[in-house]
Amino acid sequence: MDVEGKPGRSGPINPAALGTPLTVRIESRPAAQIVHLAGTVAIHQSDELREQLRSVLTPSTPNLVLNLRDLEFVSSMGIAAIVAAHNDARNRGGRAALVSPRPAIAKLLSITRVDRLIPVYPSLEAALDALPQGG
Amino acid sequence: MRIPEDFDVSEARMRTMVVPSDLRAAKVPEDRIIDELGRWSYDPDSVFAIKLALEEALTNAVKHGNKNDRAKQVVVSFSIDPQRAIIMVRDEGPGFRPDCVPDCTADENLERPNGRGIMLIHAYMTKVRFNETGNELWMLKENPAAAVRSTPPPSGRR
Repeated sequence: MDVEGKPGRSGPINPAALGTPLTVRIESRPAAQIVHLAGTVAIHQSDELREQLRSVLTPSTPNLVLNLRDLEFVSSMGIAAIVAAHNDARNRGGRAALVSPRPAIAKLLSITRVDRLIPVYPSLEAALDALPQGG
Repeated sequence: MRIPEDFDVSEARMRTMVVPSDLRAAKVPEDRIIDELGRWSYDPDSVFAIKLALEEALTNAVKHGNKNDRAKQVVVSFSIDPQRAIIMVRDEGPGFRPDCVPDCTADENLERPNGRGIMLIHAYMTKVRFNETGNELWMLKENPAAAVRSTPPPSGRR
């Protein structure tokens, strides 16, 4: 279902896809916890997402990689959850990274300058390579 | 309802929905408006922009205006046609000064999780107006596809 390392999809968003339910899949790697976000973060789901991202980090794996390749929509509340996760990772001595946002999400990250706070990579491999080795 | 003059729409054309201060309830008018945009074949970028601005407005109304008090209501009025989408969101809170919201893109504020909503509404909508107290927000988005359709073809040939 999720092929790692593929770049984000290009082209316009399908408006119908903006109603696709959010799925959150967590993948543990030695270097980082990878969270694959897909679909739409609905207006009432941001607090829940924030808690999920907060709970994913462990003392032995403080690095967090958010795979945004299949994320269709997120508002500022979802962005807030991502920034809070970045702050959590940093406070635990780790780092956060974003991977393959679609053009609309990349624009959102750029307008808010969140892409200056959290580095964005074109692939999971590139993000994992950039993280400190050994977690 | 005090419609901003430059929005050029009559109250009779506005449809109104009232929901309690709850983000799940706020999804009902949001879904209705998104359906309307689909019906008028708004382009994907415009749908994304309007959905984003509307969610920012609804979140502000529920969380900051009405402080999540379900006894208080959020009023959503809208008028959507092929040329433009006009949306009003009003809460029962005391309002705020939009010009006093800190710049969320300033280096010192980047790590603050919240505070990006108002800036995004301005960034994605064509016109944005608040009433004097700040508890009523009007937003207008022009449909670029309609502008293209209404542009007359070049006249004459060389």
